[in-house]
Amino acid sequence: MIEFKNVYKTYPNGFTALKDVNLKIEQGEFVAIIGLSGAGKSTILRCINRMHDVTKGTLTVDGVDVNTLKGAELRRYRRKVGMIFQSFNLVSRSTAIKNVLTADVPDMGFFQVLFGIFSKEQKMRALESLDKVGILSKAYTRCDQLSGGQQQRVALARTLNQNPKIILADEPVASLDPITARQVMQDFVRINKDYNISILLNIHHIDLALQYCDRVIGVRAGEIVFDGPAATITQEQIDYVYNGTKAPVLGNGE
Amino acid sequence: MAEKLEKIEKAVDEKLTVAEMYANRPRKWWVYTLVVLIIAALVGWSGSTVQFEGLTVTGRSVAQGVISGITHPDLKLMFGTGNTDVPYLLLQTMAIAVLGTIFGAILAIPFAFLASTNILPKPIAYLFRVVILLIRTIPSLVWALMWIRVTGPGAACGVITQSVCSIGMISKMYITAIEDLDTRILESLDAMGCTPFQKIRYGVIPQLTASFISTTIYRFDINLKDATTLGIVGAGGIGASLVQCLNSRRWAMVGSFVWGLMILVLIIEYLSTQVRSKLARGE
Amino acid sequence: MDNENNSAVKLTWFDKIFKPQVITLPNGHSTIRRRSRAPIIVALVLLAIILSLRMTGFDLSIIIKKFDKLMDLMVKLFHPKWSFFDKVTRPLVDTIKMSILGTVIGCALALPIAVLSSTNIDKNRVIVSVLRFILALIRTLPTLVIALVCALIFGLGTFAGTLAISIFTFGIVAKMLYESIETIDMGPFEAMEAMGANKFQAFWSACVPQILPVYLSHSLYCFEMNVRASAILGYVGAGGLGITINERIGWRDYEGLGMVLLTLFVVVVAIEFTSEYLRGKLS
Repeated sequence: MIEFKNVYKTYPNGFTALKDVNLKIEQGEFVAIIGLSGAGKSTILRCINRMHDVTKGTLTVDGVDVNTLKGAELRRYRRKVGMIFQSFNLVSRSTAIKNVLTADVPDMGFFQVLFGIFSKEQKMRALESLDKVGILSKAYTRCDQLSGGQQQRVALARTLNQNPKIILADEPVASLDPITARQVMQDFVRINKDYNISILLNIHHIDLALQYCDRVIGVRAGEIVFDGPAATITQEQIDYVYNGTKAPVLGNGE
Repeated sequence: MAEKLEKIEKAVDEKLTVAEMYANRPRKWWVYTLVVLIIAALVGWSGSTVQFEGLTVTGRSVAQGVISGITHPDLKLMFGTGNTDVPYLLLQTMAIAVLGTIFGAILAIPFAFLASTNILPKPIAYLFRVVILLIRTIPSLVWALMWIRVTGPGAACGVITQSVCSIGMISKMYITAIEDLDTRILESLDAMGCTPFQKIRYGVIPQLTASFISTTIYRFDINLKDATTLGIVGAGGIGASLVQCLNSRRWAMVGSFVWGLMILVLIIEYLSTQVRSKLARGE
Repeated sequence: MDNENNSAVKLTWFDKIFKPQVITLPNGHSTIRRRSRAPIIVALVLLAIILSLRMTGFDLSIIIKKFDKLMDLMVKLFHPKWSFFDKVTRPLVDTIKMSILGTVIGCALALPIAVLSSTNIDKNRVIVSVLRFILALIRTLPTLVIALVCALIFGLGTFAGTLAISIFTFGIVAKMLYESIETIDMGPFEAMEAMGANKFQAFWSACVPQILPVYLSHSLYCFEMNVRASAILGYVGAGGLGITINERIGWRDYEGLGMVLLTLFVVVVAIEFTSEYLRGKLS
C-alpha cells in the first residue's frame, strides 16, 4: 500500500511541484495519473521510489516511511519498486536478455558484476520474464534492432525480473505508435491481473487511461483534483484537470 | 521463392519454450576468451624483449634536471627577442607549419580528385590511393632526412617536408568529402542549362570549401606539433635547440623551450577546435 | 512588416566595424546582408604566407636546381636492396613489440582517467578540469622529445621507446575516450539506480557495455598510429627501425633505405587493414 500524507515537493530552483498531496493506493491497483505536462505527474512517481526527495509530509509504502531510507536500505527498498521509462532506457548495444539480466545486478557480488557472470537459474528466469511479455524469440537480438514496442517490452521484462510489488511507469507509451501503444497497455493490464502487481502510470492520452486503467488520478498544478474509478469521471472533470484545454486523445491509430 | 518464404514464416511462427531458447543461446564466450588470450599472448611476446634495465648512470640526475628545468625555466630566453630566443623559434616553427600546410593543402587537391572513385575509373583511382598511402606511411622524420640531402639543413627543408607529408592525410580526407558530394545539385544545374565550368563553380565548390578548410586547419594543428620535432634532424624550428639543450644538459633552457612549446600548441589547438566547430555549424 | 529577423542575426565585433548592408526591396520589405569576411581572411592568410616565406627562407628555385639530385634519390629508393631484408626484420619486430606494449599500457591507464574526466559521470568539476588540463599538456609534448628524455633517463633501447609510446597513447586515447563517453545514453544508468543498484553496479552494467566497443576501437586506431610513430623513435636511440633508417641515410645507402621503407609500408598497410576491419566489426 502506498500512502501520501500531506506531501509537498519543492525543487531546488524554487518550483513547487506537489502541494498537499493525499493519496492511498492499495496493493494490486491499476492507476493512471493524468494531467498536463509539468503538472507534477512525474514527480509523484519519482517520489515513490525516492528518485526525488519529499520536501514536507510523509510517504509510506507498506508501512515504511520512504523518506527515512538511506544507502543500502534504500537500494533494497527500490528492488521492490520497478520503473519503466518513456525512452525505455535500455543498453541498446546489448541483447534483450542481457538487459533483462541487469535486474539481478543489484543483488550480486563485486566480482560477479565485474565479470558479468550469471548463473543458469538467472538466465532461465530472465528468459521466463521475456516470455511473460511475449518476446522470448527476440531474447538474443540486440535491442537496437528491435522496434519501439518490442524495446518497451524488454524494459517491462527487465522490471518483472526484479520481482516488484509496484511498477511505476513514466509515460510508457508516449514514444510509441498508436497500435503498439495499445498492445503495451494490454501487457500492463495482464501483468497487473496475473501477478497482482500495483501499477501506477503517467499517461498523456486520456482515452487510453479511461480504457485500460481501473482508477484515475487527475493532477493539476501540483494538486490532486480528481481521484476515482475510471468509469465515473465526467467530461467536466476532465476539462478541469486539463485546465480547460482539450484533453489529448490517442485515437485508434487508423 | 514461395517455398523459401514459407520456410521463414514457419521459423517465425515456431514458438520455442524457455528451455529450448536457453539451449539455443549463442555461445560467444569463446570469442571473448580468444580475444583476451590473443592480447595476453601479444603482451607476453612483446614484454619479453622490452625490459626494464634500471636507470642509466646519469638517469637520476637527468630526471632531476628535467624537473628543475620545468619548474625554473630560463626567463630571459623565454621572453627574449633574439634569433635564438623562444619567441623567434616558435614563430619560425609556426611559419614552417603555415607554409607546409598551405602547400600541402594545394598539392592535395589534384591528388584527391584523381583518387576519387566517383570522378575517375576505379583502377586509376586506386593507383593514386596507393601513392597517397605510400606518402602517408613514410614517417615525416624520414622525409625530412631525405630532403635534407637535397636542400641542406634549415627551415626550408622543414617546409618541403611538411608540404609532402601533409598530402597524404589531407587528400585522404578530401577524398571522403568528394565522394560524399551530392550529385543531385549537379543534375538540377544541368537542368538549368549550366556549362561544366558553371557546374563546378556553383555545384561542386560550395559543397567542398567548408570541409576542405576544416581539414586544412586540422592538419595545421598536426603540422605545428610535427614541426617541433623536425628540428631534431636539422629542419628548422624549435626542436633543434630543444634537443641541443637536452643533450648538453642545460635544464633551465630546456624548461623554457618546453613551456613555450606547450603554450603555443595549447593555444593553436584551442583556436583550431573553435574555428572548426564554427565551420561545422556553417557560420 | 518591419524587419523582424534583424534582431535574430547576432552582430559580432566584425559587423560593428563593417556595417551590414541593408537591402530594401521595392515593396518595402528589407533584409540585411552581413559583409563577407572572406576578403579579410584572405588578406590575413596572404600576410601569414609572406611573413612565413621570409622567416623560413623558403625558395622554390632550390628544388628546381637540385631536381636531378632528388630524382637520383627517388630512383634508388624505388630499387630496394632485397638482400637487406634480413637486417630489417629484427628492428621491425622490435618496433611492433614496442607499439603493442606501449598501446596496451597507455590504453589501460587511459580508461580510468577518461571515465573520471567525463562530465556526465564525474560530477566534480575540479577533478574534471584538472585531469583534462594535464591530458592537454601531455598531448602537446612531441613523442620524440618524450622518447629522448626517456632514453636519457632509462638508457638507449626499447624500454625508453615503449614508455614514450605509452605516454603518447595515454594522452590521445584518454581524450578521444572522454569525448565518446560524454555522448553515451545515461538512461540505462538511471534505470539501474531506480532498480536499486549502487553507483558501481549501475556504471558497470549500464555504461561499460556502451563504452567498451568505442574504447577498443580507439585503442586499435591508436595502435595504427603508434606503429608509424615508433618507427622513428630509434632516431633518438629509443630502439626499433629508426636506428636502421638513420644509419642507412647516414651512409647514403638509399637502396637499403628503400627496403626498410618498403617493409614498413607493407606492415603498416597490413595493420591498418586489419584494424579497420576489426573496428568495422566493433561498431
